[in-house]
Amino acid sequence: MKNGIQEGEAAYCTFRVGDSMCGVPVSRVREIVSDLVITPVPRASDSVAGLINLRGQILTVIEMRDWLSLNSNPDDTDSRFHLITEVGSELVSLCVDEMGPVVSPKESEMELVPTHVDPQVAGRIDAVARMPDQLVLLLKVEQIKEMRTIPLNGPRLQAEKGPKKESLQSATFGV
Amino acid sequence: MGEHDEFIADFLEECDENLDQLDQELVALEENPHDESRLRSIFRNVHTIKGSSGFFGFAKLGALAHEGETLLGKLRDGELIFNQAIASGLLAMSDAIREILVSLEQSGIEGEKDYGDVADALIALLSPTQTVDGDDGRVGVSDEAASAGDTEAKESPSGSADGVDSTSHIESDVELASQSVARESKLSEHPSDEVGDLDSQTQVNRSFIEDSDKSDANLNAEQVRHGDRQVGTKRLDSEAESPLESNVADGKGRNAVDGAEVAKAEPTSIRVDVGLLDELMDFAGELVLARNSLTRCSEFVSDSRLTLVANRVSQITSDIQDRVTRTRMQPIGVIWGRFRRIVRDLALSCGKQVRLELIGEETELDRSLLEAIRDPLTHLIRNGVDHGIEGPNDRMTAGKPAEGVIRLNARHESGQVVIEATDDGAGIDVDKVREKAISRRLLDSDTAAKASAEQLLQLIFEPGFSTASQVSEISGRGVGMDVVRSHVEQIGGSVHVKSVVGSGTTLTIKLPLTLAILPALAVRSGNQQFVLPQASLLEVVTIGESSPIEWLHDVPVYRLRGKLLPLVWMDQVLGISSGAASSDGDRQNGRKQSKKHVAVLKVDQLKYGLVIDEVLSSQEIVVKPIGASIKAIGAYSAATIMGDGSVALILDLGGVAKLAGLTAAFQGQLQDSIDAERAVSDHSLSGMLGEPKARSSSRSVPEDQSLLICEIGGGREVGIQMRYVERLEEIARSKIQVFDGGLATNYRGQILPVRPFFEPQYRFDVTNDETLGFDEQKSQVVVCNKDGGRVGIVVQSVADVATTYEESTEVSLREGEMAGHGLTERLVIVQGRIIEMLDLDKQFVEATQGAG
Repeated sequence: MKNGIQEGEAAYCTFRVGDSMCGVPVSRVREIVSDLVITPVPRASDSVAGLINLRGQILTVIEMRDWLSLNSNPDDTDSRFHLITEVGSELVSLCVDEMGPVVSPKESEMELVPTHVDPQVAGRIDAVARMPDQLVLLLKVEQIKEMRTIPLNGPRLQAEKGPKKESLQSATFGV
Repeated sequence: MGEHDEFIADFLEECDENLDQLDQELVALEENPHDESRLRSIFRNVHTIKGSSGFFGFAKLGALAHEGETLLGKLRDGELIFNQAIASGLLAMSDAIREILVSLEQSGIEGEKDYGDVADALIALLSPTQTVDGDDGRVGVSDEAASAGDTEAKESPSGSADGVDSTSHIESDVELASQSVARESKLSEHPSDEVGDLDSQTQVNRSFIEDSDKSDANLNAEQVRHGDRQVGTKRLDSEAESPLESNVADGKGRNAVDGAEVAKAEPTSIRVDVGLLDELMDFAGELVLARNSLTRCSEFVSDSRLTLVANRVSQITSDIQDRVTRTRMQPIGVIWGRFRRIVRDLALSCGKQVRLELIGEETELDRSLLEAIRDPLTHLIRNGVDHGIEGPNDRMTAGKPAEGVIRLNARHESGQVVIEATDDGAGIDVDKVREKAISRRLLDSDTAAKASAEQLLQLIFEPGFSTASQVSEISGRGVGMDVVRSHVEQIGGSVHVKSVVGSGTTLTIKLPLTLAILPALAVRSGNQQFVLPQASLLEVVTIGESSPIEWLHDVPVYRLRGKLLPLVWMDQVLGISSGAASSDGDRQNGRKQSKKHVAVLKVDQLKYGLVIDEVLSSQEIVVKPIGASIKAIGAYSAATIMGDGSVALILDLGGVAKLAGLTAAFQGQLQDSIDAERAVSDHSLSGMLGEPKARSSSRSVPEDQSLLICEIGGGREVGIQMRYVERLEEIARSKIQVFDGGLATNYRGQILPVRPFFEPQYRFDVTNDETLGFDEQKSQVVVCNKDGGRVGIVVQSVADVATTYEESTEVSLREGEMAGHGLTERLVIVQGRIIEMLDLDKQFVEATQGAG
């Protein structure tokens, strides 16, 4: 892990979601907490895992696996991490599987999002950073507010999620 | 520069307050044109605005205020008499200034708009020939230029000579200080001094103290005449509070005031940043939650010391919560102030005479609520003047005084704030509402004919009643009343209307005291906790296996004491999977297999039952905001944190109904429920029975054979034939009086014999006074009416209305066989249970015998 973040290079806080490493700018991360009870919100979008109580403030928890259409890793435990970030004027928690190091990729290590990634998911990724040992998806956190909610007409039926989109993992890691 | 911006922000805020006050005082002065002290106060007010805008270099603002001040100067000196035209001119000035302030706040500049016309109007008012009103003719013509020069002349020397001169008039050190401050600001009116006096101006604009009125009042007329130091009077308390600032004034070497003397004035209130208060409120909420957790912990740990500490913390927390809540309270008069102006302007433009009476201006409520009801109230006031109050001629014809009255009355009532807006206008013609309701297809003619006046009046809150074409036709309200209602309900309030044709209309708004903390009911649905606001909760009933659930227009309904209650399954509407017994098969059967709890809710005019799995507890909760994406679902209004730290969603009960598709379906059924209510209120419950639309799986019986099934304790249930049931009443036990051989109560002015089946102590201890009237608890009384004779039957509760029963299993009973009560006539089986049929004839006989 490299420690010295050089001037002019953006630093990213990385984390693992399923089998993929993702990153958000360090400047956007308020704090990281773990093991909070998540209260589910019926009828909310699939990407909303629920609500948490962060020292008296109630935050929406985004299930990053769903948001990025990533498969979960069978080794994952129930223990999740909450990366607290600010989207618009609202604090939200990004629910991730494991925290990684802070990285600061050079300009030359940045790649555009491959074109064959599902457009909806691609719109949530800023760039892909080729780090020595792995690829890191740099996320557009501000896209979270674009989430749709379940339309008002008719009760929501359970277990009607369509088949998952082609795994992003195979798309990006096949490079 | 940043600091300068801060002064400007302070200035804007203060000007805004000054303008509000100005508006109020101008309207008040119009009513009493000879109130000199008020006139002086207005003059000072305008002068303050002028002085401050001069300092900041706001030319348009200054020019406007200058013209206003000149005019006011003439008024003050008795050269002109205040009249309506002048009031309008000055109010127009106030509006113009307000517009400039808005522009300043938004863009930092005064804006493009030219207010020359307003200023010209003010100048024109200086010459009495322009002021046509009545007795002003005698005032001499004065040269406006000279007048303006005169004002200037007064300003310049005040720094020295007048100061010395007027000290003799000053009664307290505080006022001395005010002079000093005034002089600082005074100088700043001269451009050359601006930069140098920036520091001293700082203090002038840091006006964080409210006590200004008192000190203003202390200024005697002499001081006022010499003008201009009033700029400072408003700030003198801030001076006193901060010796440092007053030292700055001293440093300038003008009219040295001893800091210690200034400090004698103890400020009783200070301004606090609203954001800070909100934070404090949040923390107080946190504290409440932490306290709840602590209390829970102390229950598990049996250590008396911990319990002691926990109790103490608990007590202090309650106190803090109470005080913090109070800091956010503001008197409602704060928003009423502007209404005088609105009423005045509107009345003038409508050619009506309207007086606004304000009662209970000191009634306090949470500031967030105040903001939220400002618009709805404004709307009601406008409506009152526009549509409620008639023109003067019409009023005279109707034998009313030409001047109409709109009265706002605010008060606290059982933990709520009640605001009534009453006008003594024409009232709302119920017949016209009825016609409109029929033509708008809100009701069919049959239902409309039966609906009570009050039910019909509530229709003015329906969106369909709010188009302009109807307003003119329904001699009354309409525009946006639906918006008023939705606004009020958004903040947990309710609104009702009463009206009497010819004598006026009253709209009553009920609001919770504060938004941040509300009483709520925690419930479980599936395996999740939710919270229902108590304000919308009427009661919780348990539906047993036997209670039939029927279908009406594809909405499941339950008969609750004779009224149809549409049901919403919470687990289904929210898509909670693990809820028990919510399969469709169950419902198609028209029955629930297991016991269910139904929270009976009233939102808008819509009453419905929310089927939940369990009632957990009733508690005060702290409302926490939730993210926009969660709110957008429409089912939740906010969230709260429970005692164990978990998050629970607060249901938006109107939204839940909407999600369940209830409101639309309910519109079509409005008539049905009106039918049902009407049936009850019209003493014939039978009307609602045997609904042809009801899809009951069992065969129906003729409506006159329906049974009202009541529990009478000891597991016994009696059936009373519906056609004899007139009303279900709750009567306080103390109102049921004992007399020789029986019981009776005063029911609508008549003697109603009472038969105590549920509470036999009435029956057996009639001689013992102590068992009667022992408390104000209510008895459930079924009022029966047979052939004109009435009897009241005390029961434990009303369990059900059975439309079907198996007659074939009917068993006749010999007299006296039933435990000596002589209660039952026969037994029938209703949905598998044996029900005792009440022998009404016998009850009448016994009751009247007792009475005789």
